[in-house]
Amino acid sequence: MAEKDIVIDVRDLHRIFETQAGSTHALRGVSFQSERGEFVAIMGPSGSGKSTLMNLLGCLDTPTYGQYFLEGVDVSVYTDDELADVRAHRIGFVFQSFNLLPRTTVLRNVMLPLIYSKVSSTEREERAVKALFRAGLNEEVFDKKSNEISGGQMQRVAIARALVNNPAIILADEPTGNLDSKTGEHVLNTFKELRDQGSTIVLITHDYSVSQHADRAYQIRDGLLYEGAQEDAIRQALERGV
Amino acid sequence: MLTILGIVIGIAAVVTLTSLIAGMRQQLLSTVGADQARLIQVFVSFSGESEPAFITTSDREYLEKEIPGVAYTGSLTQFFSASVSTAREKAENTSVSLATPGVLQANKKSYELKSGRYFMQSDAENYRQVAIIDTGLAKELYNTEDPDVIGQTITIDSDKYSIIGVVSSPQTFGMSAGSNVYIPDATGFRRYGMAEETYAMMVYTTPEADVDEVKTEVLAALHKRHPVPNSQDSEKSFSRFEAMTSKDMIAIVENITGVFTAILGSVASISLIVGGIGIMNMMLTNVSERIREIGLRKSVGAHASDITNQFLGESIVLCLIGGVIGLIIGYGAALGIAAIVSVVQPDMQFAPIVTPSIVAIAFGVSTLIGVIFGWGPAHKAAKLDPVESLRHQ
Repeated sequence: MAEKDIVIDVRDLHRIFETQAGSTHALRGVSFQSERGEFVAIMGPSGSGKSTLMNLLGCLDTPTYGQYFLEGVDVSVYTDDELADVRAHRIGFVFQSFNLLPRTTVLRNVMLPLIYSKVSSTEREERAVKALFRAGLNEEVFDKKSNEISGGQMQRVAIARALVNNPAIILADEPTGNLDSKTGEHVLNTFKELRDQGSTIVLITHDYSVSQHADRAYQIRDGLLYEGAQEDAIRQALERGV
Repeated sequence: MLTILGIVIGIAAVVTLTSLIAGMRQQLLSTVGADQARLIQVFVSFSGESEPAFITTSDREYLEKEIPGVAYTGSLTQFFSASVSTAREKAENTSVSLATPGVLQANKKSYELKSGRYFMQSDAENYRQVAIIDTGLAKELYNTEDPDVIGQTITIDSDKYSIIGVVSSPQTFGMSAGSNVYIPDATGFRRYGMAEETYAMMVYTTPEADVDEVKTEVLAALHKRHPVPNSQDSEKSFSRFEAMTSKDMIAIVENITGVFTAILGSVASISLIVGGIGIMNMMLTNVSERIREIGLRKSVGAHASDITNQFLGESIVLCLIGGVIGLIIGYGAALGIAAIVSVVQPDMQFAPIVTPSIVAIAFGVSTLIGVIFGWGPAHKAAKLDPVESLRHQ
């Protein structure tokens, strides 16, 4: 039996936020694994802890307790600069609101991560172009400013930016939230194509229909993770007496 | 653009002032230094520590004979103010100076011969009543700076003198010194019943002599020849004469202009501080408006130091742009001021100079302002939490 290539291995993650109003236990012991080339969806309503989980998976934040192994390396104990290096080389983000630099061309937007991963200037354009092709865009848009293209194209640019460093995982936070259904469908198909090419994708969504495109779905509620689609997750929660 | 206005004004002010001062300094040095490298100016000291002792003709002859480094000595001392007249015109308050033969031609850059001749030794030996007028006096008496007057007679007070030469008006610190007439010193001493002594003397060294050494020897010789009467204290004698080489004069000019530059530069720097505060405010606003961008950059791998460097770099570039504009405007303003001065005061012609050090200072100060006032906003940007930044509306 072939050994599993585990890319994400999250063990009993807790995240507690201390505020003036008191402490908020946003994640209460989340554990799961994801293999290379898997497309995983994590569903949950607002306030469920899904954004907190995504921030931890994306190394934008560190857990209060628990461990996070990314490609076998425990990144939960990393310093800020080490986490920045992980984000530069091993993680790609796709945001709901695209987060492209407004007065910058499509090509330069995609080249942005390559600056921080210290890729030489001669290589940057070449890699950015390849990533844009992989995301389904053609040369016509490369020199356009990011505010001159459609929403669907902007999200593809964001996907290209997420791919440009050949990351271990792509984290997509509500990637279709600001798109119409047809465009959103195109974007989700793009994720599936990337999965087929070997990328590992974690998609955060509140939309059940979006989560159905994934290979596996999780439900997050009140800081806890349940495997399966919505109905399964509710059943599990009832069985656990939550 | 408004943001960098403070930097532009500050740099422009500093460049205008320092380039004007550098130009004036160059002009001063050129008048002080011109063919004066071998000149030692000796003065009688009136400090009051001892009675003044005047420099005699015999002193000069002694120095020329006994000190090998002395090539020539002479005096050119303003004696009195008199009215000088021709048959038709009269010039009041003309300076009458007694000149040792040879002293005007030793300073020929200042007393350039326009027509006729300089005094000869025989003019003094024979007490001739001959005179040399300058172009300033020529203009007053003959309405031209270049009159054909050699051989004509002028009256100084009630005495008649024959004009043997016309020289250019001397410039002192770039400005002309009025109307002057020169007569041989011996003629003057005899006419006015004075002892043959003056309060100042010019000593020219030989080309190979060390000017500072000759200065010391001249002073020693004069002090030896003029000890303080009834005093055993040799130190007292040493205060009766003073001497200055052109190096000493240049040092004085450098000192004065250096002080001016420092004072005026400090005052102009206040506007740079104001400009820097403007930059800081602008950068803080910039950071606030770009919070999401900062979050994005951090999400794709920017370290805190990358963010700091980015914003600091932007601040420095802004200040450098202001510095370049200020440099151009400052030099332009200096040119304008120098042009106005030359129209108002035609004798005072000089060109402002932007030296490499002024350019370096302008760039250096601009960069420093960018670093100092950009540091706070850059640091604030670097410290932003990426999660909160990405959420920012």
